[in-house]
Amino acid sequence: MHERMMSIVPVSIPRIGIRGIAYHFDETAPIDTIPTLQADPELLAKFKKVGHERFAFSHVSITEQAVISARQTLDRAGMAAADIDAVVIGTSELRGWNRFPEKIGNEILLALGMNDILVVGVTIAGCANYASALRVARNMIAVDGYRNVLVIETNQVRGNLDRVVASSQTGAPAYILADGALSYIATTEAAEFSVLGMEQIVKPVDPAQADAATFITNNVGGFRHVTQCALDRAGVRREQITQVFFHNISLLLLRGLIDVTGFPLYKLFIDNVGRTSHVWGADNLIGLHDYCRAENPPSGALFMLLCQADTYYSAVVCQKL
Amino acid sequence: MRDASCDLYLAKLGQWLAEQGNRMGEIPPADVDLFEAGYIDSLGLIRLILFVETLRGAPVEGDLMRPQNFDSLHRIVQTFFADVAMPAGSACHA
Repeated sequence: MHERMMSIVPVSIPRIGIRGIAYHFDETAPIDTIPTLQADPELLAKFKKVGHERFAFSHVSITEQAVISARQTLDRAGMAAADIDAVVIGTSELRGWNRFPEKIGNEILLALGMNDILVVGVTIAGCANYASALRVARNMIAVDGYRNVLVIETNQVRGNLDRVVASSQTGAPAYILADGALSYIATTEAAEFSVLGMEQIVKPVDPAQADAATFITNNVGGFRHVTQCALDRAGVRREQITQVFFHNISLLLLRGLIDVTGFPLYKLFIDNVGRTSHVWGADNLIGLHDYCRAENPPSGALFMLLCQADTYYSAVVCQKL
Repeated sequence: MRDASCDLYLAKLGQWLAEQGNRMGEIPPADVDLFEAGYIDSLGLIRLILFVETLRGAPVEGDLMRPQNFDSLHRIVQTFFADVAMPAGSACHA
């Protein structure tokens, strides 16, 4: 299969900003309390060795955690429900939701006091949902003329899904799924971050040939493509990036990612691997939020947000304003 | 027939695997499957790709980024070093 090389055609897309990043989960607990790891002390030890200590979880529903987060976003942005022109809801795990999917939007709008408003759902990009949702919001602003789009990503481990994910072939620890919601406002108005460039692709793998080595080479190609493309679109050089954000997964896997994308290891944000574990498509922006709160980087600082879901790869370059 | 450049790349790759691979101190035979024989695992593959790129002084192109191209020393040399730093008229038939 030939790699598709898409030319980057300059088009008149307005740069959008992000403001009011917020997130919610009810609490964190030691990974020792996860039944799968209680039953397998060897696997527990492996996860601890690659950085996992605690995981985030919620007692409230997938919509309630979304609403709590969204209210914080509105509060931080100094906005009311009436200021929001459209809503994008990302969620990739519905096995604990036994009603029609559109009810998610209904519940969230009711709780937020929003009415007569466009809602779009984003699902199949899985843990790369945030990049799809951001693109949808950006395009709503560019094409439909909206000013403020509320973006929510909300996920929980429910039903028969196991939080603990290890390689089916090698048994190596990969990640621990957490519960949580993230939200922000994509806007043409005053913002905290400007989105400079983004790219997302899918590089499908034939399940009959899906061994670990195939996924590794697929990952190398996928991450390199989206990273370079997002940098080119942003007009930014790799060495200008202040900090890189990815999912809160095994430190060994993170080391591989940073090696193939050409960023120095010290620029990778890893603080939340041990604190929250992998909050689906919310890790990147939770990391960006926490990093900026802790480090207060100067205006102009540039960030690379990478994410992956199976064979979906995405990269976003943004800048602190 | 092999030329000196091919042997040089085979030697460098073999030495790297002996130092960085999962069978420490062992230089793999040129035709052995590196994955099946346990010289390299999936995470080690990333380091092997980076080493190949360092050796050839250029990134591995997207359509060559497949595990089959890294499954033996011979295959790596055939795939990635056939046209690297070779004198005119000499090809690397490892």
